[in-house]
Amino acid sequence: MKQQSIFVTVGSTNFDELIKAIDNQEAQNQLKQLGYNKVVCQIGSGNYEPKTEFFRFKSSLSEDYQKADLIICHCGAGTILECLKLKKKIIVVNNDTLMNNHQMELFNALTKQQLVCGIKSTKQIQSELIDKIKESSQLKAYPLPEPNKIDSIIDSMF
Amino acid sequence: MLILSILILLLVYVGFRFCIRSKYNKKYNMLVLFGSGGHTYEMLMSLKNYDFQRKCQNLYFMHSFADSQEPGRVAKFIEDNKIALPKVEWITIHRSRKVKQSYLSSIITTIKATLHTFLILLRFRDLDIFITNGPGTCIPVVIVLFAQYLLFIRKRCKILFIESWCRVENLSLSGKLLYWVSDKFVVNWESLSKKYRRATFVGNLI
Repeated sequence: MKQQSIFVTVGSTNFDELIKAIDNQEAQNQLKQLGYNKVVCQIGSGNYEPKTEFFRFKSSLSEDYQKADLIICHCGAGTILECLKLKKKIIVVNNDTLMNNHQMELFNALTKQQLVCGIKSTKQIQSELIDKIKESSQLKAYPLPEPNKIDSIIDSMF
Repeated sequence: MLILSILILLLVYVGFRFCIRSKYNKKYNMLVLFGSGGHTYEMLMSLKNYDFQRKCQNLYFMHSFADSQEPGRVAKFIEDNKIALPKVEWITIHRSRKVKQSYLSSIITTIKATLHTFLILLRFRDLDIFITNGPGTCIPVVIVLFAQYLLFIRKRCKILFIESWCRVENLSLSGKLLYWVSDKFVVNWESLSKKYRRATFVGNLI
């Protein structure tokens, strides 16, 4: 079976619950069964340091996104957009311990359109993560924009 | 009679030329505002396929002092994506509102930023179109453009507002403020265009 890798990213904040959920023996065993034998974590300012490969910050994560087959991320629009455009499988975990509920609109829209798999609250990470990883193979591809749309928009203004 | 018909022919010809020119060959003087982080990324993504070489006379990119790394990021993106641009001039203005600044103090800093922007934009009176995707800094720029138009300092500069991709159900604060002011209001999600009737949705732009 092809060896696949997972990249977990939490952005600039901390999200220990997410890192812990993937960094334990049980989860690792199940991931191996699914064909994922490499996990890299970007843990930001988190307190928990995983046993798997990890780092805190980098100026650009583009390379890590490109290398990964599956990306598990917090609900940050920039990360999600960049990964969608790379046509990666994405699992978005909403960090409801942070007060950023304006991202919920985006979270709901993307999960509804099956562009990403979503985990709604921190409490559900442990129970849902593996299921969502299985589900992620059925995600739809993000439709790339038609190239000349912006031209016609600007032209229509004059 | 002959002179008259020649005159009419000439008029038709000039009119025809004028139509073609204005429709297809018109070059715009364009001002694009870059906010910080996500705003810049989205703006670059939206404009990635725009034919700047053919459509742009003068191209001005604007950022605020606080976002001093933006020119570098923009330059890198342009290089990475091999976007052909005419010569770009950067304009730097004051920032009107820091992230999480309170509304009351925002008003004072916005007034200061507006005055500063007024002076700077006096140098750029040839603008045809201003493109923004809603960082706070866009509000003083729009106020200044409109004020200078009223004071006969400049011709009318059209405003294109592109709402952030993150906005699915509700407009951002800048979006709400510029909803009636902008000449074209573009959104990235169909749900927004159904709720706000002035908003145009033409599929996702990024």
